[in-house]
Amino acid sequence: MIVTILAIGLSVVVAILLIYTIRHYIFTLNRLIGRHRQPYVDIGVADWPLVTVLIPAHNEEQVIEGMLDALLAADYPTDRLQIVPINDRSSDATGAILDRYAAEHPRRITPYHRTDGMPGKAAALADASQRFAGDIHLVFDADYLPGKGLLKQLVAPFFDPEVGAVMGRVVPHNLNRNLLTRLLDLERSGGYQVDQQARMNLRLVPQYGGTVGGVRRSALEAVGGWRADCLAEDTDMTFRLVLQGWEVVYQNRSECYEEVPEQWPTRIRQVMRWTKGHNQSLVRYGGALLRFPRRMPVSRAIDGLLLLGVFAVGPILLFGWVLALTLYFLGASLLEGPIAVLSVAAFGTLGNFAAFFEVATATRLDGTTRRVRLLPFLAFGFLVNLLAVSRATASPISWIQGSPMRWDKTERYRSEEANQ
Amino acid sequence: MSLLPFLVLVALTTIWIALPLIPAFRELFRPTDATPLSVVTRDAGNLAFFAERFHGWLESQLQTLAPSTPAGDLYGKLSNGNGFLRVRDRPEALARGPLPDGAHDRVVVTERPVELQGGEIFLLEVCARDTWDGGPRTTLRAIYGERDVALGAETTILRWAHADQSLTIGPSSSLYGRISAKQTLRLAHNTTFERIGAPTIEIGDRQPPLPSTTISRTPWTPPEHAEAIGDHLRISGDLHLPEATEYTGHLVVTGEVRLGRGSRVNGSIKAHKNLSLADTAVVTGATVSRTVVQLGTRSVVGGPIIAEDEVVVGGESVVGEVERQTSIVAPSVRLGIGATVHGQVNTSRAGTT
Repeated sequence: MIVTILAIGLSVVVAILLIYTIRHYIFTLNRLIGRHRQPYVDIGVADWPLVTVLIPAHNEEQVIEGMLDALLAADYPTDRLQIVPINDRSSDATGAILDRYAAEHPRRITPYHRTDGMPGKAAALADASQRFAGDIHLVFDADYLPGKGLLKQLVAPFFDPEVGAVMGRVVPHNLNRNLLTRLLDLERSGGYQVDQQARMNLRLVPQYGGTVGGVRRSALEAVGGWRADCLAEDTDMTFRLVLQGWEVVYQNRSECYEEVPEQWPTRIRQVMRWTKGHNQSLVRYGGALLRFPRRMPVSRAIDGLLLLGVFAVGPILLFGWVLALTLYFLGASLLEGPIAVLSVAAFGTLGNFAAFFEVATATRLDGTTRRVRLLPFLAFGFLVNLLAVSRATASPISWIQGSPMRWDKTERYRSEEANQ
Repeated sequence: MSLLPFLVLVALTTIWIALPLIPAFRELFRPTDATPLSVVTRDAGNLAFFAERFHGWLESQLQTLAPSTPAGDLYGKLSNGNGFLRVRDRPEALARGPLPDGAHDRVVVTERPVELQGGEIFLLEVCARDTWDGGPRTTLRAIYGERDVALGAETTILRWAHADQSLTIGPSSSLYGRISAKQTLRLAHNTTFERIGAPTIEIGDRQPPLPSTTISRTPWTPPEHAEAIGDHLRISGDLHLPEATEYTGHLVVTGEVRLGRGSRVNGSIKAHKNLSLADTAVVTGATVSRTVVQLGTRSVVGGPIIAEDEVVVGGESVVGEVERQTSIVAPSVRLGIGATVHGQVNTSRAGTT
């Protein structure tokens, strides 16, 4: 009896992993042989709308100047651009730096100093977005370095009245620091060049990622604004928009440099925060997607569910390994029949290698063929992620709604020299 | 029993597993590909980017010429090793270049009005400081005109062409790359292009303006199943806006859209399928389709036109305004004779007139 139950459990695990494997392969093959959809990026001239650029910043003295300088150099019409750095109770020199920039550029930079209210990026955005009247709200993290033409590229899709949010591509600029940064560079390539763009090509659910992107203000108001009580306000916003019938657009050519974590503990904290936030969204919106809302095609609802469940795959895989070992020691034979063989083979090989195939394809599409030699090390990164995700999944914050939030800030590494 | 076979097996297995790690360790300790991806920054959006960069570079080159340089025509070399020809006195020098087929393999700078017979081949860039009047069947790699530039029938541009004033291109020409003018760009019929831009782009010979007609419109009432989502109205299925009706607001339609003759949308409109504007229909905002946008004759669109397959602009239609320039973006674009576009047309496959 126990063996039967465990075997059924293992079959479910294998089926889930197989679904994600097939998903990876569909995305990767789409990028290799499918049609590349990027309908808005060539809008070069237009009557550009009023844009508010929000930059949540908590103790960002190391990087905030680089961000502001980059935005000041943007080719967006200055009379249509409000730059709003949000100083969220920083205890370092961030506030003073923002005031100095505001004094030097009084009509262009309007800092917003938060001294009370809920902490965290989501709360900062919720608070600030009600005070600034731009038609489009673009959001950047403080360590990003947008290029001159990026704002126009990110705003262009909003001429389509159905577009509620836009996401650009994040490119690490500190990848040459160590093994971690190089692995993160590979992961980012796979995630954006293949995963996000394939979802764009297939009209599924490209994810608004909370930075290098933006939201239409009327869409923001229609879905009730930013939720202050979530750890992944980007995932939360993506699903509230698509459930209401808005489109989220990904633009692979709208690239922006970011600083990736250079130390494993920082990276682990980042992954754990993403996991908790993602799981919160799974609880909030999984049911709605399962009911296949009429404003969404079925394919989009299924992709949305798989996207929300992506951080659950790690713990499910761990669970599968435990089940398989238990069944082995209970003397159960797992290799009976061709279907079982196929399942175990898929679980053992394809399930693991599909993501690697995705990353390798991304490096090929990026034309960076030699960095793919680091691919075997991704197995190590994968194991670290697996443990971090599983630990975060076990945390109650992953599942409890309305938990108190706090700034779990990612450390910055940029030197003064690099800023210049 | 000997342990040797077992140990050999273990050693071979270890080597087999470690094999893919050798290039990985080499790349880790001796990086050969660890620079950040280059991101698109400078040239995006500005069609004249390459032309302006060439012009700036050429200016800096010419300023370094020795003061003793002869005042008339001049053959010389630029710092990148390319030869150059400056024409001040004898434009006949342009009729035939030094290569066996008569092609010019020098950068050409003309400092007086030029009128060519046609058939010339310029394998490097041309900078025309005064007017340039090209004959038929000319091939140019690239041309920068500081004043008006006119190119004859069957001209071929390989990289870019830009005029600080007007740029006129004769019929049956092939325009690869970026074509731009600071004032007016005129394209004759049967011309193919990739990316064009100017405050005013005119297709075909300039026609006398047709007498304007005043259309009396009645308000259009959306169907009951239309849903308000944010600032737009979402309509499931097809939509036909009747003749001479008017709606104010943004529309998203999950089927096909047909805007009747003389109808008007004061806002933007998107169709998941084909979107067509009948003659004299007007959309003041953007016009978006997942497939094809087709504008009838004398229709008007104020904002960007975005289609994932094709845009067809009917004769005498107007897109954008001089003070409110806009873009047409689609893999394939056809511009009808008499059409006017204020802004840019960007195609990923081909545009035709």
